Amino acid sequence: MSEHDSNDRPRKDPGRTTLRRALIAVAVAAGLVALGAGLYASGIYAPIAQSPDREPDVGRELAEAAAERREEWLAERQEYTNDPDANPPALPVSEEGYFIPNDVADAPDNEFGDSVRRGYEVFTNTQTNASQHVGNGMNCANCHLGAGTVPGSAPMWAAAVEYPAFRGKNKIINTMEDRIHGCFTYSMNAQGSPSGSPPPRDGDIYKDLQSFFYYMAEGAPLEGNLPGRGYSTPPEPEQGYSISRGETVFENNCAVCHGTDGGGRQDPNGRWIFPALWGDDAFNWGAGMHRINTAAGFIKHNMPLGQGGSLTDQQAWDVAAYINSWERPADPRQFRDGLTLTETDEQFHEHTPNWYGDVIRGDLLGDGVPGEPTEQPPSAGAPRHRDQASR
Amino acid sequence: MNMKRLSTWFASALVVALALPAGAQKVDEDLPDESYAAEIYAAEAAEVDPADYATLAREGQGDVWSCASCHGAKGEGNGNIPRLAGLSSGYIAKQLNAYAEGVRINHNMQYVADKLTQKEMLGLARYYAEMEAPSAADAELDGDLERGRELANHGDWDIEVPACYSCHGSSAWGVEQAFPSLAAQQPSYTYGQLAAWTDGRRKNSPLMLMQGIAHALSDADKRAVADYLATLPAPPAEDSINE
Repeated sequence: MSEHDSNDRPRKDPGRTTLRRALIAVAVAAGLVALGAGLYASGIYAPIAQSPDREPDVGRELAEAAAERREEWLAERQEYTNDPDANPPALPVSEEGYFIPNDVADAPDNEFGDSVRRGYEVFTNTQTNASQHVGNGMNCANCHLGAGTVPGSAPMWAAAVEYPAFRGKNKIINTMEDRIHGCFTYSMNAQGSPSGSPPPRDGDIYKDLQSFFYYMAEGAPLEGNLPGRGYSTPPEPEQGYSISRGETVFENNCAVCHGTDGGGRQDPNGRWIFPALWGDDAFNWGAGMHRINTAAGFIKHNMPLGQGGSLTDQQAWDVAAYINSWERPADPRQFRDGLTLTETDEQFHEHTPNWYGDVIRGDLLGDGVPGEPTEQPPSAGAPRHRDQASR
Repeated sequence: MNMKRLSTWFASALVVALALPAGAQKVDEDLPDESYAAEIYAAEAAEVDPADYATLAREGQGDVWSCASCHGAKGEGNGNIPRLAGLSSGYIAKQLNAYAEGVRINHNMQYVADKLTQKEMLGLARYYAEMEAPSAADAELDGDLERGRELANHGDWDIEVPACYSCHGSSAWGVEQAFPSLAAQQPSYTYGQLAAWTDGRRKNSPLMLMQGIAHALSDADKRAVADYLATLPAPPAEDSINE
């Protein structure tokens, strides 16, 4: 700077002066920005920078607005029921445009309301309330956050109006009971449960869960394709997906809760708090979440818990690929149909991005046995100690 | 206008401005990664006999006062001084290190932690983790307990706040090392930490999980949840869980 000092040098060249002014201006601007950033980072502005709109009770206000909107909707519906000339009720939606479900706390005080509340208990505490049919550490609400209410987390108010439906997965028309049966078979790994199978058909678990879903969805249009349904997978990135990049994402964003071995964590009461992502306590090879695209959609919108949307599409795809590159309980369709692993791979895993039947880190994925490069004879999915499944 | 002086002033300002955040980063580098710190300290603490540090906890040493003089003879806490009994050893050791490194700010605790050796921190962490003490906390912030219970059990997804229990365990007794017990914690302390995360005075939370949550909670929510958690049964001793 000193050689540009105006006191020492004759001011002859106007071009140089302009340049000097420009340089000083840039330096001053950079200095101010850096000073401001530094002061901000030091935290001294924190008390005054605190967003004042958090001081009002935002959570409470949003809940009250939602309840009010549902009451309006009920009134509009009653009016329409009484008088077909009245306007049909408009869909009850939040400011963000998502369907506002009924609140379970408002379920009626009658037999149906009792069923709704039981369904809610099964959904949020599946480990206890459907314990005979759960063969891993999962609860329904692990993958359907907010007890099945959160948009982008496969909310049940959206699913409830989408069945019966034809599903490519089993190539038949599925009722909601069929769909729940599938969840228990695959996501809850019923083959490893005390009963060895999903809840018996036509049983109360199905009825109560369906009452709960139906109640939440009251007012949603059939086959609604509502915004917020499913997990809405982001497009596969140009770079594709990578297990090694995913490992870094996992270590930086996931391991603190799910453990470096992906085995999840239990609390002092032995209850699963962070679900296992692979290994014996996780969903099996038939669950939708073993597909890299589906897991990427869930992760993108919902993980880390409370920070949904914070990972990039690339990170979501990469970490989904990493999580699903480890061994997990076998695909129950292999035993049901008496197939080899290769046949199971061809019949059920060909058309989606997944690692089933691939050899990764010298381990053939899908045979339920970690660390073995060759196919093992099918064995029932009896639960094993989780240490065996970790690396 | 003297350009030389002006530009020198700004150059200095630039250096200072850049050095401020860099300085804060440098302190962090002395500590293990937030995600793994509690587990690393817990593994180290497992090698230490907590009985060797009981006297230090109860009586202090030299010009450093004892832990018990503020946290109570049973580690039960008081006012805005936290309960320590039954917190995980890894979590306690992580906080002591954070005080010593100036990452977590509290003048009393920084003074104390600065004078402790690493082994003493680990020993004290084990000492309090293995302590089982009845609750000495009660709701005292005029919080709405029903709202607090709702936040603890279910969170509030309208403001993207997960349930406390979804990370701190089904009784808020903590989950392994990184997620401390919140049950029977002194409500003024819990409230004070939520406020500190909101205004940036406290920063050490893995993935900044608590900063996000604290920002989303209103002042009334903070009082509600701090009061509700204070009403819960106290956590058991750490070794009664693991062995």
